[in-house]
Amino acid sequence: MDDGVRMTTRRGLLRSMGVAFGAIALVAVSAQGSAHARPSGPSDADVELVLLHGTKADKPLLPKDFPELTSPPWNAYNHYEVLSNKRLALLSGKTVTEPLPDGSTLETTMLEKDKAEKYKLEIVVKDGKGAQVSKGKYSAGKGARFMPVTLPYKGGILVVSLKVM
Amino acid sequence: MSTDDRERDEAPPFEGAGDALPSSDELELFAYLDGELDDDAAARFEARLGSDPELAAKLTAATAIAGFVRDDAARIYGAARVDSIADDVMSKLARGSAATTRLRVVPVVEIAAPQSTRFSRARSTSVVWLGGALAVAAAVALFVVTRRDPISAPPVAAASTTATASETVAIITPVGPTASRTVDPPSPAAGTPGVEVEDLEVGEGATVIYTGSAQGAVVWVNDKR
Repeated sequence: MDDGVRMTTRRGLLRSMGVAFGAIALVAVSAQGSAHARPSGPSDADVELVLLHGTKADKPLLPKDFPELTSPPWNAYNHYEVLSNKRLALLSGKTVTEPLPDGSTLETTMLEKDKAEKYKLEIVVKDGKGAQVSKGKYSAGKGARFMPVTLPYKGGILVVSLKVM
Repeated sequence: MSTDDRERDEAPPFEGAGDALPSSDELELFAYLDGELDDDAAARFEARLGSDPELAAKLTAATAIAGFVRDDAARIYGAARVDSIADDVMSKLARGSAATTRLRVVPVVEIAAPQSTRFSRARSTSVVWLGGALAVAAAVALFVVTRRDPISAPPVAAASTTATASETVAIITPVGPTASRTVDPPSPAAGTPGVEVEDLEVGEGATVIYTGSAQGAVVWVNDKR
């Protein structure tokens, strides 16, 4: 084998190795990202988190599945826009932190599941500086929606809604 | 009976009865009755009684009234209960002056427009929910405590002022740095997929609202720093 052929083969080998390492790195990063977004293995409880922005408007807007918004105290506002809707996969004893659009954070921890199939959750809201705004323990059955905290937000209110799925 | 007699009979037994404030003589008389005068002051007061028939008459009248009130209350509530009520009142006054447990529960019809209240994150208070809607009603009677500042409550639509008793919303507004109370539980009705609130800590400026429904309670933050 002359030197030219040997050089081409070595270069090709190196290129192939580079592609292979790159692919492995990509897979690793991708796997790490998905693990961050979703815990590996089954969750102990799935909780739907819906954030709503309530304002006073000429034209009312009430998202379906939220009949509570027509009752006090939420009926002080008549226009509710759904800002986000996501599912939190909770593991017992592990706190899931979600940023809120007003700069606060919502910390949700599943404490236990009792014999009556109710899930005991601890909900903590902290402001942008990390100071506690509210902290409560709620016992909710599957399908029960509750709105534990309402914060001032953009001329109206930010409603935090949770439901055990 | 002459007009003068009738006027004399209808006149209040004390100068202060028809006025806003009692006279200094009457204050001294009440202090004497309550045993709050020291020995010298009591001796001087008793000496005056011998030379001042009007003051002696007032003392007789005050003693009779005090005895009537005490006897009547004891007959209705029992002597021990009367003492207990007095102790409770003094205890609540003492607590109130320390600004530690001034909470107020009001129905939704009393909710006013939102007040601008600064929210203090450094301070927190604990409100523990324990029972049902009936107990909340009882709490209204228990927790109607004088506030020195206006209620900071969430805005509620005018329609809510027509709320029936069953729609009553209880507002628990912590006041003071260490306000802490045990409040009745907003338990959902049996069979409903409601939410029970077991323990709640909120900062000053936030309002805890019992919605009277399966919602349990909501922490309504009025203002942010």
